[in-house]
Amino acid sequence: MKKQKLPFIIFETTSVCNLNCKYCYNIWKRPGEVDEPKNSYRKARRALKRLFRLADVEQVTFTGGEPLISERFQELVLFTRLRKKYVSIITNGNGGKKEDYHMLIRLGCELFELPIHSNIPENHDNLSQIKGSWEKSVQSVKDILSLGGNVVCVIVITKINYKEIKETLKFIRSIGVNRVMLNRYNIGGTGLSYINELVTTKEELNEAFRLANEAAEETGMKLSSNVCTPICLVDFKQYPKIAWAPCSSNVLNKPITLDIEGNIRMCNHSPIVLGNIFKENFETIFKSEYLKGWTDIVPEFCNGCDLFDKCFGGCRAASEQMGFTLHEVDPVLTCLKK
Amino acid sequence: MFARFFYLWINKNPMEKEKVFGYIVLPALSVAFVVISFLLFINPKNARLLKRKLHLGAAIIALTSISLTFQSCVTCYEPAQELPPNEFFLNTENDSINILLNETNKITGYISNPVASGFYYRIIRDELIYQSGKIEALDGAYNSDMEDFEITLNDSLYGLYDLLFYSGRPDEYSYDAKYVLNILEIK
Ligand code: SF4
Ligand code: SF4
Repeated sequence: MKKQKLPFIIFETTSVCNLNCKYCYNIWKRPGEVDEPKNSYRKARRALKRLFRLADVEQVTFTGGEPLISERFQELVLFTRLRKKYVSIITNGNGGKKEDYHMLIRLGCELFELPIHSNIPENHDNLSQIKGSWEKSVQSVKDILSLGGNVVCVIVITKINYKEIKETLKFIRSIGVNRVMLNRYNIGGTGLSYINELVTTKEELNEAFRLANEAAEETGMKLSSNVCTPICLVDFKQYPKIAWAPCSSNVLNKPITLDIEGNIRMCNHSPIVLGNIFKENFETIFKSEYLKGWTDIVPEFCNGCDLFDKCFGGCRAASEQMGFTLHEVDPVLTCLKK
Repeated sequence: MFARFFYLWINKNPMEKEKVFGYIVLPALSVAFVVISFLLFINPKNARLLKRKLHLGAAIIALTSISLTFQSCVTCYEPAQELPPNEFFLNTENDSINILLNETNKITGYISNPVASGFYYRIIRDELIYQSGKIEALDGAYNSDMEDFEITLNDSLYGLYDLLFYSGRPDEYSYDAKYVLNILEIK
């Protein structure tokens, strides 16, 4: 059997989390969704084993929920590393202790991605809805760096924290991190219940990127914007210090996501299951008509826009989270505060 | 403990590394790893076994990567190992490359140990090919371990693309290396 080449896969090891972030886009946290906790080492290992049988994967990014509290997480990492895959971990910085990070680094984890949403602890804790989470996250960053690990920080830009973004970046720089992902709040999951509290105006979002661009100029930090943002909302040419990572139309370049039941989704934000690796191979999964829709279907809002082949109407997985189809543009455009 | 001891010991005695590693340590660790994994399978809640399994696994990973570094280790008694065949390297520290059009319209890099029938590239965005071609060695022939090459970008390119490299004829589903190419102009 010919193996599918997959540069990158996101693996959701568990749906369980110890924080309750207002912006959390986890699909199982949408209002009204029955959230049956998924947390099984056996199932996770079985899914990884099947994945490696079907596909030639280069990199596995572990996420959740909070991966560090998933059952026998380090063994899952070990299993993956022994198959010579690069491993990175998206964690909330509240699930592990220094000795856990130490072991993960010894196992060869390449990169840890942790949130520091603000230099003001209360604002970070307001977003995570857990007091003390900022302190733990900052401590985790320091621990990982002291152990020789690589860290990239994440700031989710919301109404709550956009004003202090420059100070936040400088704070992150001061604790030794040079790379930051600036992800605008992407509507979905728990975030669907907090739209009014979190969504910025177009001007506020642009102000955040302007300030971040300035901070990058002053500090030399490497910044990227990783949530696909409509160009009519933010024109990244104006912020040349921020690398803009739009969604690709090539399925292999998308953040293909696997859960422990074997379900494959096109990205971790999308609730639509493309197929299941225990039932189909990737060739069949990638032939889906639905996938073609991502490039072929032009939302009415974008009709006639020359930029569609670059921005694809923003994140339409967010439209799906709101119960719409690919015919709808990114809901951030319709929910924007006037 | 055992694994840590060996790891530290061989780091102090580099000349002994290869022999110890090849004939004793890795096989021994692998056997111990299989045994512990089996015991853990029977007693999944045993924390001590779990700890041992992780330590052994970490030692195997560390030692395996030590073994990989041997490949480029040159001593007076052994010739240099061959470089990995057909690997593409660009003059950048990560997997993305920024081209400032104010400064250059060329991408430069090298191919290590070039042994394929031909080398090709494609610059694509969203499955559309914007530029493609055969990569020629800068000095005219693929006859050294590290062969420099240069790609001149078309004037019409601007913004973000994927730059894909192929050893042998390109196809849609496999490439040998991929870089994010960001073509910019500072006004
Ligand atoms: S965003 Fe991450 S840390 Fe926050 S609740 Fe969701 S899964 Fe947990
Ligand atoms: S494609 Fe749609 S979302 Fe993107 S810039 Fe054009 S109108 Fe805006």
